[in-house]
Amino acid sequence: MSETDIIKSQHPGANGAAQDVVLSVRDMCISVPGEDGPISLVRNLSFDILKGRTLAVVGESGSGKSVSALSIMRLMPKTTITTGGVLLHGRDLLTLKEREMEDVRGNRIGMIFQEPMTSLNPVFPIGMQIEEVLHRHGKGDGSNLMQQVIRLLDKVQIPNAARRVSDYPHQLSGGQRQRVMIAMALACSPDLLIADEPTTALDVTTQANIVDLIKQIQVEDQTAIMFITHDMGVVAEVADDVVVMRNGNAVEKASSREIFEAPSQPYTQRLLSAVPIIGSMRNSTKPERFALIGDEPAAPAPAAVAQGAQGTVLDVKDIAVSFEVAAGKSIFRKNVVRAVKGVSFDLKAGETLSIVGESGCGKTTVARTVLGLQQIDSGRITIGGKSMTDIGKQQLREVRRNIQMVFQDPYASLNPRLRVGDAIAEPMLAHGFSRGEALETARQLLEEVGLTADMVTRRPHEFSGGQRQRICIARALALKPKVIVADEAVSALDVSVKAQVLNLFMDLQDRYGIAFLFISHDMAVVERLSHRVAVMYFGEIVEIGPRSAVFGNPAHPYTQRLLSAVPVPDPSRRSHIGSVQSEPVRRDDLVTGQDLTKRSYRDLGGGHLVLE
Amino acid sequence: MHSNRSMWRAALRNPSITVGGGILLLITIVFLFAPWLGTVDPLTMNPVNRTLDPSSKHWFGTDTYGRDLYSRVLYGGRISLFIGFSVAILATFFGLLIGLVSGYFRIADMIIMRIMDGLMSIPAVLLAIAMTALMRGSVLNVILAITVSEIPRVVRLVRGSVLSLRERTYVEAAMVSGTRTPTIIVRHILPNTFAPLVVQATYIFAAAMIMEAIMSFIGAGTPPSIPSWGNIIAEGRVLWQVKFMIIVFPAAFLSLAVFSINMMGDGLRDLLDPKSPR
Repeated sequence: MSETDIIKSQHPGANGAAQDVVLSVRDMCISVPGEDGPISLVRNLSFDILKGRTLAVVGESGSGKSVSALSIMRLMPKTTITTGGVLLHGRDLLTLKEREMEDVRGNRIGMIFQEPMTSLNPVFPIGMQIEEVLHRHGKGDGSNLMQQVIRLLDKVQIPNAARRVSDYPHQLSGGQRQRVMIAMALACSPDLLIADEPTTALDVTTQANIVDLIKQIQVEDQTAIMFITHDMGVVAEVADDVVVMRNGNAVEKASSREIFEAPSQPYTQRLLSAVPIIGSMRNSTKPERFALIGDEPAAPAPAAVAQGAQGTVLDVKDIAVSFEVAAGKSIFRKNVVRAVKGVSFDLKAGETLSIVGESGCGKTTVARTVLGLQQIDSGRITIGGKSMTDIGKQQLREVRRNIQMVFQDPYASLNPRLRVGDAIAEPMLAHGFSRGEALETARQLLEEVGLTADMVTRRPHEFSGGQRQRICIARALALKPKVIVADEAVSALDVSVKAQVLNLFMDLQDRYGIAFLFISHDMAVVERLSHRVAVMYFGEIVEIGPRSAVFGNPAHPYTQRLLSAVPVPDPSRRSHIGSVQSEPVRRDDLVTGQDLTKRSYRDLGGGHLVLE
Repeated sequence: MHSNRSMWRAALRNPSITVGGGILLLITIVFLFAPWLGTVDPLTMNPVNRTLDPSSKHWFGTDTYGRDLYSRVLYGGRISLFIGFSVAILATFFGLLIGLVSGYFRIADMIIMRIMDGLMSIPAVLLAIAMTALMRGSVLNVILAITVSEIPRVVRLVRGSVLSLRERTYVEAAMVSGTRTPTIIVRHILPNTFAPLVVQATYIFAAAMIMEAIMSFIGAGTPPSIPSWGNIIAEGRVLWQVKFMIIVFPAAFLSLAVFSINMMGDGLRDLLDPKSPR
């Protein structure tokens, strides 16, 4: 029985539609020339996508999922060798001439990319860009082209479509731009839509809206969709069938339900075990390690020292931060953007406080303020009982020893020219350790974070993303800080690596009683890791409290919306089309005067506060 | 980042670097060993033998005063290369220093960049001529004058890369860990500005040699008592319709030297650009 038969046999009664194969990929192998012969990227990939159904291709970075999509579109560089068959309604795309292929792209197959910020041309109005696609493929003529464009924008639910056609990309939000991209991809009513990580760069609530839109369009147009993603939650939300890829091989192919309920391959099981599931922590108040199947040794028994350390290590009172931005054309008139408004929280030893919110809500600014990388307008920050505001440079350095940071991008946060040992030793050297002492500690720290001591002489480019993040953690640990700020520290990592790094965080906390200030937009990760959670929205904390209270009983409407938007990796809990609330209207956050708003919080008990 | 050895190997595989560098090395050696290469005193005049055509005695012929052109071109080459090289080193060094300060300290930046804008608004040749007019004409002053007019270019380049480097996460990471500013500059910023700087230095080398020739040609550069390609051409121009050889030899050497340096610069640019495939 071939794979096609397996997939077909699972949906025997799909009223004849099952026979309607739109895209059939047969034994596709992709390789690129390398210095020592060709390098194989994808091996013997076969799958079918049926009309009106969605095939999700999942896998971690480097698994070959995007390469496959680009090869189907024949968008890979000329030197790439693709063998096998890619049949669109029985016509093999691999044998087409480039001219013929151009008629297929955008016409029979539409494609949506990951980055909505860069996939639209900034110098043309959006209407014109969609019109171009229609014009290129000879759909309609002259006057009715614009009509079609407006209809398309309506279809992707852009409000006031008729007026927005002359807008330029920069006037739209990320979510709206992705809608425009979808409108472009759908312009010629293609048979197949390829979506390559279309929601990865978006906020959760926006992601939920876009996923919802794609599902709606599929119901209306019966388009076949190839959906590439690494997010199991999104897979559960959209997919009918799933192909799991790893290192260029299809590891498992099955219906979405089977993948989630009874994954047969160990890799799939491991992938799923590493996905944090929101709501899975309802019955506990403490953070919990991921039970990873396979490649990780059991956690060392946590030493009990941690519990001894108590008391507040970080106290933030009523801080405000504003930025000046140019207003209009004059260089003298400035508008003030208030990024952080009256934020207060405290952090106790051995505790994890997570700050969640969407991009632009001010969470990163808060992190930077706490570290002294950003000046505050007003308010007070106290670390380990010592004030960070109103003190000299020398004292500030001493206070700062107690607070260290792990950054989001492990590739950018290590100087490529420095050896790993030197990078870890740097904070110690800055605080008067001798070189030998610092390097010796660096060796120990590497062991501590699950690497080996002999790696001190290697350079960052020899390490993977997850290993680099471990190195960054070792560097943050070097001065034995009381607080570590982790700004989106796991967002750039693959699921299984992410789970391992999160486990490392929790182990270190158990061992040393370090307090973590964890900045994230990923609600499921936050639920797993935190003792307490603060939700930020437009520069304010709208809700703060114990994790179980905030997740179990969200009181602020924004928190509720945020939680409902998180995709759950369980197809049976799939949200219904149209159930997601639409994107919020942005409040005007440009102000020129002082912040006079008096913020008052309602106390729901147990430290659970909600902005009124 | 590749290790030093693989960098060398890549450099030797790059045709622009090997050819350009090879020519440059060859002419440098020739000029360095000028006294032993059959030259006579380039200043000895012999009016009887003026404007001779090339012969076995005077390989390039003689000029209007009967001086041996071959010797003058070789000794002139020493001066031209010396000026070019010195300007490249000095302009790069001071430009780097000023650029680092300007890029890292916001207040200094305001002042420094206005001065640099001012310097750049005056054509480089004009500025250099004005400076030599104020001072005595000597090789040292020519070097000084050209250096001043080349510095703003280097400052702009360094400042630009420092501005982008200081926003890098690893620089912030160093700040968070309490590393002092001078250490940050030396360890994290400085090494990453070198690549574009080396490329820029080669271009300055070539530009300075041309600038010296221009200045000497109009009489504002190296004094006539010291032969340089510029003033050899300047003295030959009155006779160029009859004895164009006097101009052709120094001009050909100048072109060859500038060409080889620029070629090497292009090769280095490709080699040091992390985005270009090796």
